[in-house]
Order: sequence, then structure tokens, then C-alpha cells
Amino acid sequence: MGEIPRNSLRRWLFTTNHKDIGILYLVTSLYFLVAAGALALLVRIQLTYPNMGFLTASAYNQAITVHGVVMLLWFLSPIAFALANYIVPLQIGARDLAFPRLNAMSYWLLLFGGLIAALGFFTPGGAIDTGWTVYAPLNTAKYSPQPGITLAGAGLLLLMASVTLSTVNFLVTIFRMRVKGLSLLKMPMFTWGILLTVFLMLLAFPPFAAAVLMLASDRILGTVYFLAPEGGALLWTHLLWFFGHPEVYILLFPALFALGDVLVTFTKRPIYGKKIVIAAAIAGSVLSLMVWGHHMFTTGINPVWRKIMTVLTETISIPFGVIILAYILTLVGGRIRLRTPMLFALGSIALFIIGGITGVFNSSVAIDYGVRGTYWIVGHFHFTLVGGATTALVAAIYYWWPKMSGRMFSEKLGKLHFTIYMIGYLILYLPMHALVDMPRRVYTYPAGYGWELNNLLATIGAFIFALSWPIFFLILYKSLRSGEPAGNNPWGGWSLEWLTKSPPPPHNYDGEPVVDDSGTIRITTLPTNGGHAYHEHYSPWPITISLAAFLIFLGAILFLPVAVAGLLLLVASVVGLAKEGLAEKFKIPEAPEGARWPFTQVEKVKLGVWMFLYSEAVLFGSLIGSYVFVRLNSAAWPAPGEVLSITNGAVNTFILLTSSLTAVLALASVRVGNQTGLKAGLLATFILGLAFLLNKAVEWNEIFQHGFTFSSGLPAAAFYITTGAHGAHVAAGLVVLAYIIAKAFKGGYTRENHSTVEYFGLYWHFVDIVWVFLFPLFYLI
Amino acid sequence: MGLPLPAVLPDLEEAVDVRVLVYVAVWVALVVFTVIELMLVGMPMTPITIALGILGLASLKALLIALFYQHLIGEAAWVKIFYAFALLTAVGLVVGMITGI
Repeated sequence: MGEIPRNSLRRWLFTTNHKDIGILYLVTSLYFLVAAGALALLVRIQLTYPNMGFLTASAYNQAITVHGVVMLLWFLSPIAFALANYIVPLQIGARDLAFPRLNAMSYWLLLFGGLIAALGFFTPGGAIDTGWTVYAPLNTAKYSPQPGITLAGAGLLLLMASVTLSTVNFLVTIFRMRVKGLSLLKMPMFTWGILLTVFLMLLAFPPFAAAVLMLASDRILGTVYFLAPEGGALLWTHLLWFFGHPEVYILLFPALFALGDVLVTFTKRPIYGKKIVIAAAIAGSVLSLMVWGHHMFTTGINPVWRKIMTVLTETISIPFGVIILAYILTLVGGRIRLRTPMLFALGSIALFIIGGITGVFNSSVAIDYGVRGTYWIVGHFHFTLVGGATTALVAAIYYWWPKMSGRMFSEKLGKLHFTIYMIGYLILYLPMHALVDMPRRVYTYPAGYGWELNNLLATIGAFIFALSWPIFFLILYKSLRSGEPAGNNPWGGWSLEWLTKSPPPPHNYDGEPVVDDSGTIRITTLPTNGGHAYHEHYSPWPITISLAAFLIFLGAILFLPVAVAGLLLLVASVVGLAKEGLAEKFKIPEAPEGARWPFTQVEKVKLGVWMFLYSEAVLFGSLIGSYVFVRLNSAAWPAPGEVLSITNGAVNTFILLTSSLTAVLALASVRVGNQTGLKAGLLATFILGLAFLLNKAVEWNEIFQHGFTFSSGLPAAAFYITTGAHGAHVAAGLVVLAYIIAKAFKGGYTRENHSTVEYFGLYWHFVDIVWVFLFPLFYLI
Repeated sequence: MGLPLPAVLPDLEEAVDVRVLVYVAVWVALVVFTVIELMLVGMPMTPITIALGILGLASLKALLIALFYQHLIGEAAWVKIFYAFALLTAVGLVVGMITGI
């Protein structure tokens, strides 16, 4: 695209610059905060007194569910990624993220995901009302027929696509785009927090994506994964909490590690035991993938597992204790300056300690049986996620605001904000710990149980807490309008972002950031990034592809013609994107030098493909695991050959295995400059892939004719969803392959430049590997 | 540019020839293992034995594809470590689910 004025609407719609996208994330997440906060106030009004009739039961259920889902997924994570987008490239000395268009697409998918979920309020039956955990079988069409839940599911799928793109992008950026001398250990704390967060996202989101995919299929196509007793509640709970527990740390790490940077600056001391803090966080990340069972103590899971989960859960509190202790020791002897960011940082630490300690109680099976589903739990997780995470992120916004806006804010108003925030917070959430016998998710309560005073206090606190947010927005607004110029480094920070202008120029640094062996950072006057000049990039395709996905889901759920329009837009957008690719408009060369350990020899696109495949491995692992789970729980299952033709499956296996051979032969050809071999190999791969899909279509048609339909039972649900997801991956591979073939016929690949062919192969062979398991599982066993 | 390309090319082509042979050999192995999987279906063994045999062969096929077609065999150590960790995560989830967590 040509030059676009920086103050135009088109800039914000088509931008791919990380700082612009960071601002878009910030505004969007604050919008969702206000929306979900308003819902929370409705809930608190309803609970002020016993037997209130302010909300109906249905309205209450919708308000509490949407509040939870939006706060977790459309406020807390996106606001952390607002800062990550803006700050991480600055902290590592990069010009942008590794894949700017994918970064823009992440944002638009998130926004359209939120919008489609919110549309539920305007449909018959209203928005999703199942509680944020969306437990089965309440989530199925049998018990919750309203389209609002399907729309929320579509929103979650868009969100997960957004998360996958972001995850890959940040991992590649942090691993491959650090300036020379900036080793992993020298990275600022916030960048470390984002690295750990995206690593957890990479592995924790796919099981939830699998669950939502199965739910969408149940609700739209009529499969019965979550309706059948052999799958149902327990299967959903496994997949949800395998995601749900690490999600706590996904929400917490950016905040906790942003605190690290704030503490360093406002104490003028390095983090005490930084290496140990990082090691503890890595240990906590790994452990967080192993403790999902503690959310399932009351589901009747194996008693031995309950004991193991108790021990693991108590263990996970140790690394976080270490981190907080290190932070406290950083304060000791430091030259503490109680500016607004530091006040919020200290407040966050105090509140997180309380939330962490109440969490340790919950790891006990005996206590968990008593407090599960009560306001004690509500109080506990609000102390960690609001007290710990949100308060720290407010500190982080105040901390980096002068860098982002170029303006200072009023300290006086900032301190007023902190005071009202903390008073409101404590009056709101402390009384909940006394409501240890009051069930949550119930729209009213009877008088006479001793719950009245604490509920009244919580509601008063909610309104005081709510009042603190307009003050926050006013502070930021006043700062933008009339704040003092901030200068490059108003707080005296020690990390790279403070060496550039406030706000930074589009290319981030007027020179080359350098970190020397002693850790000293400076900007040299050399040309940008080792001689690679930065150019502003705009692209319309991230927003149009995301809009197309929105329309396709909307149409599939409510009105089919809309889906057709979406499909047409998607095709046009993908063609436009491919044309940009063919014209190499977005080819951003890597700087010749940089700190890239441990992926020094792995080119950034290749690393991105590998990261994506790691996530895909967990996605298919979850789908296959779900199949194994329901199969082992089922008394009867069709014998091999009874429903599915073994011959058909075998033919498809040979087709796909051969397509892997032709793909790798195409690569071998281009490596010696054999263009004919390259084209023949790619064309053969395409034809074989197409043959696989056609054979699958014929097979599906045949078994459908014989009565093995979507709703035939668990064998049908498992088969159609798992092989359908695989087929969709084959189809997506063919779309990419069509682009590669077009480029090959234009002579776009040479002996020296053929990396795209290699990276496509990584994906194609992965799809082959998945089928290698699906074939025996569905056809032979 | 005066680079000694003619001197390099024969070695490169030889190396590629060897690679092509390896690719074809792997494909033959994949086909053979698939045929064995098909033969196992009707064998007079317990269903568990058949299932373990077939899944063992499937794992072997997956390993061959990963090592030789995805070229994992020559990849950086951390690419392999991350791959292994992702697979371990998936396996951990499946094991946890079916053993009754």
C-alpha cells in the first residue's frame, strides 16, 4: 500500500506496526474491561440484599458468565499483550515483531471474536449463561438451545486462532530478534514474563481449542461428544482445566514480571536473585501443566491421582513464593521512590500474597470439598487475578505510559486513584472470604444465613472500586491533552526502551541498540539493525481475513447467506495476501547479527513453523485423547471394517504417504536447481492431496448413506470431528501449496532461495504423521 | 561472481542423490509397515496385542517421517527438545485422562 497519513483511520485499520497494534489492544481491552465491569456491577446490585429481584435468574446467569469470560480472555490477556506488543520489541532492540501481518491479524481476530460472542445478547435466549467454565452437558444444545452459546463458541475459536498467531510471533521474535549481546538472561523481566506466557499458551490453549471445536460440532452438526455419558461432563472438565490451570499463570506472568521492571526502576536495584526468579518461573510453568486435576477433586477422579494432585499443587506454590520473596528482598536496601507505578506494584504484591496463600488451602482435598463452588473461591481467584494481575498491569501501564504517550501524568491524581482503588478493592473482595458457605453462580439467596452484611459490603466496595477506573481514564486523558513532556527516560529506567524517544519513532531506534558484555546498553549511530532499513508496512488483508472469519461463523450459526459472503471475502483476501507475498512486499530480512541462542541456526520463518507445529501436536493429541477417552469408556464400539472400509482408509494412507515423498523430492530437486523436478514434485503433491480429500468426501458420503451420520453416537462424533479437523488441515495445506506452485512456475525458487518449499514440507509431513495415527485408530483397531 | 560452482556441484548432486535414495527407502519402509499393520488386523491374537502392535508400527512410521522427511535428524537440539516437550504434554494429557485423573 502507498503512504498513509499517520493520523488517518486507514492507518489504524491497516497498520502492522507493533506499537500501533499495542495501542489497538490497549483500547480494545479497556473497552472490554468497562463492558465486563458493568456486568459485574449488575451482579453485585442483584446480590446486595437477600431475595432481590433486580435481575432475573436468566439475566444474572448471562451477566456473570459474560463477565467471567470477557474479563479472563478479552481483558486480562489482551491488556498484557497491549504492553507486550508495544514494549517487548523495544526491550530487545527489534524494529518490529517477526511477522507484522500475523500480528495485525491476531488483533483483528481477537476483536471480531469478542464482537461475535457479544452478539449473543441480541439473539433469542440471550448470551452465554452457563458460567465461564461452560460445563457439559449444560453447554449442549439439548440443555442450552439458545444461539448465544454457539456464538460464544465461535468467538472463542476466533480468539484461539488469535492466540496461536500471537504465540508463534512472540516466541520467534524473542528467540530470533534480540540485539547483539542481549542474551536470554540479560533480557528485562517483562520480556521474560511474555516469553513464559506465550510458551504456556502454545501448549495450554490447544486442548481448550479441541474442546470448543467438539462443542461447536455438537451444537451445529449434531454430534454427541458432550451429550453422551461416556464423554460428557468429565471429558469437558479434563480439556477445560488442562487449559484452565495454566491460564492462571498465562494471566499472571506478564503482570508479575512487569512488576520486576517497575521494582528495578523504583528501587534502583537489580532484581534480587534474577536467575533464581527465572528458574522458579520456568519450574512453575512446567508444574502448571501437571495440576489440572485439582480442579476436579469433586468429580470422582481416582483417589491416588487426587493425592498426587494435592502434592503437585502444594509444590507449585513454592516457585511463586520464591519469586515474591525475591521481590521483597529487592526492596530491602533499595532507594524506594513511591511514585504511582510503584504504589500499584507494592499493592499488587501484597494482594497477590493473600491470593496465593488462600490458594494453598484449596489444594487440600478435604478443604476443597467444603469450599468448592463458594464465595471463598470467588474471593481467592479475584485476589490473584484482580489483586495480583490487574493491579500489577495498572502499575505497568503507569510505568510505560510516558514512553507510549510522550507525556507525564498527574502524580497527585495517580495517588488518589491508588487510594480509591485499594479501598474499593478490599471492601469488595475481603468479605467474600467470610462467605465460605454461600454458593456462587446462584442469582439470589435467602435471608437468615448471616450472608447479608458481607454481601452489602461487597456491593459497596464494588462501586468504590468501579469509581477508581474513570479516575484512571481521566488521568490518561489529561496526560495526553496537557501532560508535561516525558523525555526519553523520566523514571531513570535501565532497560533498552528508555534509550529511545517517547513515543518512539516508527523504526523504534535512530541507530543501532547494543548490549555489551558487561550488560551496558547504548545506541550507536550505525544504520538501523545492521544496515537493514525499516519501512512502515500497511496491509488490508489482516482485517479482511478476520472479518471474513467473523462472517463465516455468524452465517453458519444465524443466517447462511452471510457465510457465503464471508467465504467470498476470505477467498479474495487470501488471494490478495498471496499477491503481496508473490511481490515480496513483506519480505523483512533478518539482521545479520543478533543474540539468537538457542535457535542460532534456525531461520525465523522455519522457527515459526516449528512453533506452530508444536501447538498442532497438542491440538491433535487432545482430539486423539478425547477419542481414546470415550472409546475406553464405551461398552461397545464398531469392529474394524464394520462401518468404515479398511480398503478406503488404506488407499488414503498410501496416497498421503506418497504425497510426503513427492513433497520431499520437490525439495531435493530445487536444492540442485532442478526446476522441472520441483514443479513435478509440487504438482504431484497437490494432486495426491486433492485425491485424499476426494476419497474422503466419497467415503463420508457413503457412510452417511448407510446411516452413520453426525448424530449416530460417539463413534461417529469421534470419527467425523477428528478426521474432519485433519481434512481441514490437508485443505489448508493445499491452499498454501497452490501459492507455492504458482510461485514455482514464475521461477520464484532457486537453488539458493527455496526455504518456503522446505517449510511447507514441515507442515505437510506433520499432517501425514497425524494421519499415520488416525488410520489405525479409526480403521484397524 | 567467479565462485567455484563447477567444483562444488558434483559433490552437491552426489549428496542429493544419496538423499533421494534415503527418501525413497523411507517411503518403501512406510508402505511395508502399513501393509504389516493391515495384516495384523486379522491375526489370531488378543485385541490388546493387535492394538499395541499396530500403534507401535504407527509410532515407528511417524518417527521415520519426522526424522527423514521433516529432517529432524539434522535439526538444532532445541527444536527437538521443544518437539519432545510438546509431544510429552499431549501424551501427559491423554494418560491423565484415561487413568482417571
